[in-house]
Amino acid sequence: MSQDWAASQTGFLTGDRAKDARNVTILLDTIAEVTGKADLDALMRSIVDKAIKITNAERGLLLLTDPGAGKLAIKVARDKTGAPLPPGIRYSHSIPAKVFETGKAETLMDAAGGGDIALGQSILDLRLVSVMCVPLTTADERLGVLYVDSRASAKGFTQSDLELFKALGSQCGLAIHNARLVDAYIRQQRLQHDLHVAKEIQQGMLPRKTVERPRIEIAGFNRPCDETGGDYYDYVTMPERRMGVIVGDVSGHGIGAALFMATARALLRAFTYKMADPGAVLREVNLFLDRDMPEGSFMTLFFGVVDTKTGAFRYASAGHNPVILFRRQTGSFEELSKTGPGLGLLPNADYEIRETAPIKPGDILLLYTDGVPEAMNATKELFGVERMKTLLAGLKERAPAEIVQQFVRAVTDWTKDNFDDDLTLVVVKGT
Amino acid sequence: MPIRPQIHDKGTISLSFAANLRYVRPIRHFVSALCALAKYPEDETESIALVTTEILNNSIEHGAKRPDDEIGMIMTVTSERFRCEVQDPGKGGDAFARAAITRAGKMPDLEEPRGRGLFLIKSYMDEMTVTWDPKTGTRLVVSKAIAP
Repeated sequence: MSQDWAASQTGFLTGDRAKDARNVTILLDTIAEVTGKADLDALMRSIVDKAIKITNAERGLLLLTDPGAGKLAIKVARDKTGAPLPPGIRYSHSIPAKVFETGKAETLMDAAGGGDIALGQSILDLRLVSVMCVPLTTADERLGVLYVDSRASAKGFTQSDLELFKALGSQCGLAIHNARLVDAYIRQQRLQHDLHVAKEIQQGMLPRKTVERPRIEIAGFNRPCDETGGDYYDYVTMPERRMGVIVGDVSGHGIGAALFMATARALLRAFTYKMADPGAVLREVNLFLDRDMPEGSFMTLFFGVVDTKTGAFRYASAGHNPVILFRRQTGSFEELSKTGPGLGLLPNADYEIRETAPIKPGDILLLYTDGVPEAMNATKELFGVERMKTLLAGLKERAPAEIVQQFVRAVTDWTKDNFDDDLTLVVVKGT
Repeated sequence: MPIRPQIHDKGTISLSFAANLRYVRPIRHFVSALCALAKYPEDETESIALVTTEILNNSIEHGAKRPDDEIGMIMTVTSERFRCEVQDPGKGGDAFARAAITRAGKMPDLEEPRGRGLFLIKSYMDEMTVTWDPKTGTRLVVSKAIAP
């Protein structure tokens, strides 16, 4: 029972006090450096440089598998001066693959004097004299391998080199794992920040205030289910004292939908500047969106135009949910259905224009996206258009902003705040 | 070199360093590396690293008075036994000694400044000795037999 720290027990300590002191110093120094680095790239470069220094090797490589993929890829390759090695460098592929697979360190000493062909012809082709490779692991995961090689015969590796190298590898695996976690956290934080900025920009594009014009008053609301959404509403002042009211819904949610919503808004604002015909505007917008939207994506959109001199109302609808028009005088409802396909579905789509009887005082137009009628309660029952009509009739004396607020409250209560779609409403009331 | 290592006879390594918590993590990794090299089972390595970390934290936080006070650590890692000795200069060490003595055979009070350290030592180590000297401070020695 030996109490000596012999090479057979603890590897790199050889009994040569000077050499042992050097090895311990290097190991401590390396550990102190790698455990203090949170930047993954800097950490990996440092690990390779230290590995070369510890082993007196000529080249060092750090190979990792990307999470979810099983193939080793070079992350860092450097020479003994700390210079990066060029892309496509040749090295023994067989040894790293074997080490990664078995989880056991491999060393090849004096390969040129009778290399192990089973470990790969490349070792002989590359005239590598010495190769060492250790796994980089955590308790639960194989991350990759750390590899060094040398062609100079004077730099053949020893068993104690390998033991020291193994000790380094076991600590580096943990350091890489920790740095990856930090890296993922920072990326997530950045993404959250970017999404928050995107949300603020998108919300800034939507009208916030109630708009009053002769004969009408308008209020709207939007709440995306993610940070950003694909719903959209807008009021646009058009030629000849006309007022345009728009509600749109891009398929899907998130940042992609938000980008198309922003594109559609810009196109609509550009075309409505001079064009008064809602059908013609939708045709033009569709031409552009059809080119840009990916296969399977589309946007539904309702575009209504009120003539504030007469109350006349014309509209075109690109596959959008029927807009509800409540007539105060009769207490009846009209549904303003689609007049053409969704935007981005057909390149040369036509959008018919329809005209209703003029908007009179007390008449209410309710424009919305599918998040309202399709809101589900705990028993999977839809909020539905009929419930919307009943609610609207009950709010006929209220101002548009209040009607919007009551609808949002009703839908929120219906879903118990468990809402998984964008929610958008616009109310136009005749005054 | 902030952590100064020294090799001694019979496979013993000593480390000395200033009383700064930033040295605890690298030393923990170093201890883990030594245990792994001695082919200790993973759970033994983990518990030894945990106890070592706790002892060092206690010495730096409660044993040292000034940031430049020196902490000394002597470790022997063989296939049969792990032994670790930590020396800190502070007189606060007598509190640790007192706690260790008065609570001998009892569950350590986790609310006390060094209660958690004592608890971990009692849980994972076979032996613990605490001595205090007014001139040199507190010396804590822990050891554990390693199952073959």
